Amino acid sequence: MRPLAYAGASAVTLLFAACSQPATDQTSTDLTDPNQTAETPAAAIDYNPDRNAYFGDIHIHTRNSFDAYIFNVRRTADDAYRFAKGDNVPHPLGFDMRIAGGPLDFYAVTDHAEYLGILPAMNTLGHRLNALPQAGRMFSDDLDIVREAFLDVAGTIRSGQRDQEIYDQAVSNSAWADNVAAAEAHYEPGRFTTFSGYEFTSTKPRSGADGFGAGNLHRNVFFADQAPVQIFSALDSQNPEDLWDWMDGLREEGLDAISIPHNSNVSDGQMFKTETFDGMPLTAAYADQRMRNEPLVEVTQVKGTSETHPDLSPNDEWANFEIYDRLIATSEKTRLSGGFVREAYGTGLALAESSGFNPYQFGLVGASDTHVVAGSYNEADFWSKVGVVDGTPELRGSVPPNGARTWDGFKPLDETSPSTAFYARWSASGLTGVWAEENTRESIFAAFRRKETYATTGPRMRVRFFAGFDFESAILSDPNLVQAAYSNSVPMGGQLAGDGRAPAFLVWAQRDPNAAALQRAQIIKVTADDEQVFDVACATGQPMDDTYRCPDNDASVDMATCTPTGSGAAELKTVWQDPTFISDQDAAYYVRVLENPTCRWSTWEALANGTPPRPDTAPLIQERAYTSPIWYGIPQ
Amino acid sequence: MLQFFIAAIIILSGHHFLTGLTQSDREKIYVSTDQVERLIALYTIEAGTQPTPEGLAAMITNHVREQALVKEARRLGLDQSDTVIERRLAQKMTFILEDSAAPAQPDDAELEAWFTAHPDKFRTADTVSFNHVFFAGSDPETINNIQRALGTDDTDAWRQTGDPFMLQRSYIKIPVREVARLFGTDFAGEIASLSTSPVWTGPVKSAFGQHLVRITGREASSLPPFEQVKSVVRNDFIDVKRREANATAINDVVARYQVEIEGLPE
Repeated sequence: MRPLAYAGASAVTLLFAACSQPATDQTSTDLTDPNQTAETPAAAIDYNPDRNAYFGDIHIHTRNSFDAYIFNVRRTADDAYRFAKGDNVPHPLGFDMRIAGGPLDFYAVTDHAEYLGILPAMNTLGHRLNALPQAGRMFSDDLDIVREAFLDVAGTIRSGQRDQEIYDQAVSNSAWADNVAAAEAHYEPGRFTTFSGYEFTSTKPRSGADGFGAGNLHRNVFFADQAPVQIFSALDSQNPEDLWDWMDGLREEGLDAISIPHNSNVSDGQMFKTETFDGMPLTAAYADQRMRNEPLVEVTQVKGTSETHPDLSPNDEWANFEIYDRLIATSEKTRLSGGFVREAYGTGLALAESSGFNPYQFGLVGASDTHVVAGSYNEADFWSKVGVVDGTPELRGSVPPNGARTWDGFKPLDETSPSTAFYARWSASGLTGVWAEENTRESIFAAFRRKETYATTGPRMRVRFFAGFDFESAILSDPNLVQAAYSNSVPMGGQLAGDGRAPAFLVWAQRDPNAAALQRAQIIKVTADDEQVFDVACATGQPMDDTYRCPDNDASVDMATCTPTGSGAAELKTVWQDPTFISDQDAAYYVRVLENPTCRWSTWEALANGTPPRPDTAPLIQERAYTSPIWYGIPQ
Repeated sequence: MLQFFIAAIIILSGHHFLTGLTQSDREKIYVSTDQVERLIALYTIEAGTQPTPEGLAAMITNHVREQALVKEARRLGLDQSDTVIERRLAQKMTFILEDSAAPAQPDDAELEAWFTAHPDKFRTADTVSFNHVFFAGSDPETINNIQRALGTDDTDAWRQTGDPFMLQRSYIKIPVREVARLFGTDFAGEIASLSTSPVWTGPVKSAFGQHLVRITGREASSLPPFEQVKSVVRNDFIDVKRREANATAINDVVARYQVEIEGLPE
């Protein structure tokens, strides 16, 4: 088995990675390293009726994903859960990956359902699939043949037409059973939660296009507890509505599940459009089914943010943040409208107004989408997500190529190799925060259902958000603030029925003690035809009455060391009222919390390399959290 | 088969063959029957049919051209001191060496011996139980007054003092490492140095502000029984043996060379 595995590995590394570091450089062989001590997983914190914030990543790929295996990923779901609990796991290039910020509270492996486990089987001597011509091509010594074979398989996922020769339901069911077994084995109620899940990898090609460009309609499907023996993939149907039918059927049999779309930013405007997959008008039944199955959307991950785009939100000074706008694996630009959650909230409210239903009343989560079993959430310790092709700073374009010391004569990203252009625009992101009574499947899944969730771009800040009619600023000094808030208002993800009065909003954000201080908390208001950003709490001073903006807190970064300078807040806490409130207008309100500026991963890598940061990427970023909205509904 | 060779040789040698020009000092490129059979087999796997005579001739031609270019590149020393090629070779060698040994399959006795030899790996974490009262920005005077007022009062009155805190006011048997994750490392270090007492101590500084703290219990790290952690021991054993085997394989290769390092530049 070894020679064949090696042949495939070398072929692909040669194909995509012209010069990689020797793997041995960073392989730790020190057996006394205290970091290797088996760790106790995250603390067992008792049941808390006021709910705790738990952090997790629910978008993880392993060797069972076709596009991970081909890039030398050999680690399993078991390795993925060990990483989340604090163990070191090796990257395909040999260096150890260690989780930033300590063990996570929950984690879910979501391999691509399409050809699940097929590539590992094709690369196993003695397996029926290993004898197929496609196996010879996929693990050939000839790099062009490998590329062709891989793109052939990727192409069938894009078209939905199975490659019947390599498609093997028994192999995929067995790989699925392995992933489910790993999730069961690592679930420790009260300490560490896992979910059985997978990715439904559907796309919608541009009409008439014969290129590779297609709108991304990918979703991750999660089972509340028990999982079925066979899963529904984009090779069964590209239409997400068929996926929902399947999930509805399972639910009737007692298996509850939700699906969470991601990378709407590169959906070519398809994710939140105002018609069905087949171009029919939306109906109340569609909205019901979508909301029953898709209460959440993943808003930030390695391949960029999906909150909004500067062209869609020209009055939002923070909209141009970790934008990735190329259709997957191409250089084609995505259509913007229909691809971003802020616009979708408005679309939903407009549909509610005109037709009486809202298919876009979803909450927000964040995740990594790593394909190397381990998410990299820390800008200062980034390993991107694909494997051997983006595992070094040079491969992802953060340092000058071929050992050069400057960027003199460099090519801008759009003119470099497509892969560098992808990777240089990717992000060290993200995580999901949930407010749940305890760290169990039941409690966390219930939080998913009520959308009491928020997304972060990596740091673990804690954000509370409530709206109601019966509290005032005095609540801020109530020693039992949270209990008081739950008893007379609705939390993030909820609906507030209007009663003629103006609601009050409680925003409370606490920094990640191991990350940067906070700069400002904002409320973003979306209506059927408008959006507005309000600063509501500032590290320094108060928001100004005319601009709704905080005064500058003079926070910056010493670029020679990436050390933050200036002051910021440990907590931001306020009770806010909407100065533009109209009692008979539906609106969605969500919170965005910004940290002080810090170095982007590309700047950290340039600093370590002793070269200047790449001129055409942002040197600094402001990490942030986005909460699920609270929807205000006009008095009935 | 013979006609294929003739076709290939004609294509490759061009007029030199036809004019019978040969040089005895030319390096030989020898294509063995085994190699040709391999080319045919590869083609057959790919195409599902035998190559035509012309096809096979072209394949042999390409093979010979590639061999000639490689030899010429080597002759000119193009493979020397090329960082890209050297890194690739080292990486290929590492791929071959790594995980080439079968995974360890320890029995229970071996695992228990491993457990006994490395107890620190399997200990539970130090834990602490504590209550705290949070002050976002109060002046020392206010904090002192509250500290004095609380005294050793054992009612729940402390829960109504100080500022609201987003996390919990009371923790039971929480690992000290987890305290660092929730409150920051400075606070955790301070907590680790305090002993159990009915008295409120502090204020202790955290990433969020000041805290009066009362330690209600401590549990030192302990070693769980072997049976309880057997699967953790097994994973650790297999992982360590895998790393050892990989390191040994590379060290064995290094040991085949006599290494001399002249020294650092003056």
